[in-house]
Amino acid sequence: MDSHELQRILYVEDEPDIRAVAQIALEVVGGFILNVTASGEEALTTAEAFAPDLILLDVMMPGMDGPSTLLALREIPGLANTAAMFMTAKAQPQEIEHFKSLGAIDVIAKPFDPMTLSDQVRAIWQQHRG
Amino acid sequence: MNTPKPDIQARLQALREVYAKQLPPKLQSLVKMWETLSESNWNWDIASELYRELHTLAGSASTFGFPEIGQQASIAEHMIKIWVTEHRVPETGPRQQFGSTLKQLSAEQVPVRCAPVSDIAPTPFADTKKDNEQHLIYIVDSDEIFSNELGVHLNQFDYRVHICKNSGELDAAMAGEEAAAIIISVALAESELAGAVLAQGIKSRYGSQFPIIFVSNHSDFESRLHAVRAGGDAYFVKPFDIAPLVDRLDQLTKNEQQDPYRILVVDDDQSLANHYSLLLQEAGMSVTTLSEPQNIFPAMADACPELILMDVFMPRCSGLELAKLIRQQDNYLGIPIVFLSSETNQKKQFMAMRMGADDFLTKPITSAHLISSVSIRVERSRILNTLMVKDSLTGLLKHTKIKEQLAIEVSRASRKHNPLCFVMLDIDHFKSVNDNYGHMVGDRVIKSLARLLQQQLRKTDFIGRYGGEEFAIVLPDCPLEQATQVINRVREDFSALCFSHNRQEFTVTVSAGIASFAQYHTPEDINYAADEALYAAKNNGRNCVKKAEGNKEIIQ
Repeated sequence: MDSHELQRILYVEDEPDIRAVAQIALEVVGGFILNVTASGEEALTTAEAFAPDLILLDVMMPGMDGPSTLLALREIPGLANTAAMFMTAKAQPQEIEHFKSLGAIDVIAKPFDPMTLSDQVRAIWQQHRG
Repeated sequence: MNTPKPDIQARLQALREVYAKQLPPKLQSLVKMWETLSESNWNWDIASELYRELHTLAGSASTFGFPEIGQQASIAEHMIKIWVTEHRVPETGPRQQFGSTLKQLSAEQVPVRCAPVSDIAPTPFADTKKDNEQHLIYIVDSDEIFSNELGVHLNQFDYRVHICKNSGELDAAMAGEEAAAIIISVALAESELAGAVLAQGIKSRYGSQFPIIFVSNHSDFESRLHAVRAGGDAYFVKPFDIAPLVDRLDQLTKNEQQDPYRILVVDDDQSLANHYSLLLQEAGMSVTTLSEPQNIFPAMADACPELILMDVFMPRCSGLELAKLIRQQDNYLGIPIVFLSSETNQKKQFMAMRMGADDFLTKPITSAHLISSVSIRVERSRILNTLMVKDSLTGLLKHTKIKEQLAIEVSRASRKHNPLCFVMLDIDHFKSVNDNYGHMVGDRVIKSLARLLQQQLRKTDFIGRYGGEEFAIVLPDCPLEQATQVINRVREDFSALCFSHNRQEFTVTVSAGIASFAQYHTPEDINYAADEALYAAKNNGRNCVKKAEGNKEIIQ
């Protein structure tokens, strides 16, 4: 693995409130460059050009859910190996394993704390890289 | 890490307000959706949508500062998830339960209602050191190095220690000053079991007034059995961590300071309820009585009972139904329920057990039987509870629990117009302790700080291990100046503790940041401000306590 630092995050979340908080948490608190999209479909149209270091997805969304969005994103050549994380409420251990089997490096539990979300994302990233 | 910009709190606060505004209509719409679903002969599209909405709510409410709503939503989500994923129409019972959970959810006050913890009058910060100075511990072991090292540790926790190498020395010492507890090695120079024999002698001569703690090199069944037979109150296998031993010593030597057991007595016959209440109160328990079963949830929220003692036959709702009702709430799943009844039919008793009862006591019952049945259950449930919410290294609250407690105490403080302070405390240069002396020593430092905090703060304070070497403390009913004094004393006393490793002695310091509810009004703001103050303390050269600056940082 290269020692590339985490900068660009593609974030997919349908819920506007959560999107707004996470945006502050990741952009303002965390200092990341964010591409915020409200659905899997929208993510697919902008993902390639944005070239994210990390894909952060809500699991349950109307239309394309998180896992199917990730599968579709994987079809894009530049994103075949991009690190991905899911965000979801109250995930059972076997569900977490399932998400990991889809290629996520980890699962972030909702509700998240906006002040520490960035640290959490960065910690998982570093662990994954390390 | 990046230092958060000052307008973050304001922006988050704005989002929070928007969210709070949307919340009541959102909750109403969930109830509507449920009604439509029930009337629609179970339309799966509506069911899925309701599931999704609840899932979203469960995942977002706490982020915006409504943990109770999040919790309730998560309970409801869990129920409907099973129906939707298994494509199974629920039966009437679960349906009703789901409906009432939703109703409860929609009745939830925004901003959030205070969590159910009983109100406790403010207690002054006692100088606990003085209490402990009276406690003398005898250590009996032929291994002098061990005894001396243990002695040094116990001194750090304010116990006085007298070391005896053999039974003769102990006899001589016992003739002089009375011990608060005796720590005996199972094996002494005389023989493999000399310590056990000695303990037996002490118990038969003095009764059980001296708690006896055994230490041993062996953890096999035989050795433990000998220790139990010799009347040992605890058993530690060498080498052991000092913290659990000190915990046990604290319990054994200061039993009377334990919080009284909280019991809820439910009996439709008020005079009978009062009778049981009196019996239990005489045994030092704190008892609430309830004669109307329909008020069970408010009563539980108020009294926060650790055990429910319940009559089986009540007119409106039987004890069995009530037990089942209570058990259907996730957060009350662990609370012991004991039935009291004149029912002697075993079949019916088993039936009650199946409904969620833990024990069945037959009326009439002697007060001794009642008291011991109740005490045993509460004691065990306290131990289980400790395992669930406490950090295993330090015995302090876990990260999420201390944050929860902060939220609870903030809403209490605002309801009661009481002061409140929140402290973030961090060990200075902890990494170098680990690097120089190893992680075992690092752990010892963390545990010592945890113990010191427990000793110097009040029972009503909440101490949590926030992360590695970081601690968080909630001080209810405590104004900023007093909090600063108390934390400064902790800081001074901790820096005076002397640690040793391979004959190298060293001391460690801490830094702390304090924020007060008088200046910051939400759990998030207080938390953030205390964190900032901690940074300020670190930047100020460490080994100091800083107060959060107050209004200056708040942008509304």
